[in-house]
Amino acid sequence: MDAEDRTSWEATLRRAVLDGDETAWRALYDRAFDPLWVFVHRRCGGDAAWTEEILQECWTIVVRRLRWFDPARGSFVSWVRGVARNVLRNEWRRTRREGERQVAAPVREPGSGSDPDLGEQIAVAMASLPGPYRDVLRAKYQDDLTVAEIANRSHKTTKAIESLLTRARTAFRGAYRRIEGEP
Amino acid sequence: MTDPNEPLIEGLDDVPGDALDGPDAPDELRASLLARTTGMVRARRRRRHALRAAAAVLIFAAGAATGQSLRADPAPTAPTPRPVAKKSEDTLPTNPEVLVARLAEATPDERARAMRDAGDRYLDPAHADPAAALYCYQRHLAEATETSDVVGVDDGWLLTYLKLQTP
Repeated sequence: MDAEDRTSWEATLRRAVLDGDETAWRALYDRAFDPLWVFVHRRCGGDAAWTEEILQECWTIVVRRLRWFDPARGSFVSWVRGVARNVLRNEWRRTRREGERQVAAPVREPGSGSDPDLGEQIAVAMASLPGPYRDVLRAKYQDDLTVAEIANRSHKTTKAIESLLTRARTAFRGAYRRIEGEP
Repeated sequence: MTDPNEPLIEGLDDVPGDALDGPDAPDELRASLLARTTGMVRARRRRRHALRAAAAVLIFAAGAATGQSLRADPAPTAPTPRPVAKKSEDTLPTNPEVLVARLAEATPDERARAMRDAGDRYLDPAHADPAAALYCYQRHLAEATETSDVVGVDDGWLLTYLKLQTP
């Protein structure tokens, strides 16, 4: 889906959700849930409870303020990540002010020097990909398997895996570039 | 054909740490947040429907009230026709010369006016006597001042014809 298609599709979904269409909401939600979860999970230092708390607030805000989402200015995923950044920033300020919840893995301050780091960008880009793309990229770049080994493990031909790998890389690079280009 | 061993990101040979192999989002969290947010979307739909219904009721009520007030207003009455002033002489004599005799004492202007009225009445369908009307109009033109030769908007066809024939 190119940028124009994405804009048009998300604009349609947005209108439908504002009219109260639950199916349209499900489509938007499914598209953004994984990337947002990864983004928040990493910012929360892997703390599951904290991640859940932040996500609850994020999604509540996203539904309430969906009218403010402008598909022409960016994707839905990038918009919800912007919402998450603000929630995380507020949370960080609150914990610093109150001196509470100083756990081993505190919420990382957004806007700090290492923000966003390469690992986070890659993880978020990965989370936005379909499952088969994620699997083949992990097999290739995380487990260091050859194409033949991946084909053997997944009971597919090497040609099919090469093709899948090419498409997965293209999709990943597109997602990564979008994330890299965001503030 | 692309190289199957090309790096995932150009210029980056090793992908850092757990970037690719991070934990997946828990399904329970995904489902619970979906249920919660879907409930908010549903509530929005109900709110919109309620607002639309309220707006429809308001519009209907406004329309009904307007109709009610229109019915409550007294119907505009047709203007009461003013009683037509009866001419001084309700009955026209069969012979218009009788009129001339009656007007013997009147001034020329009074006679001219009276003969004009009489000509109109003889032409009226109630009398339908063009010959008597012709006689009256001729007498009217004979008695009237010069300006009476000008065709007026109230002049009937016969009087107009006579005026146009007057040299």
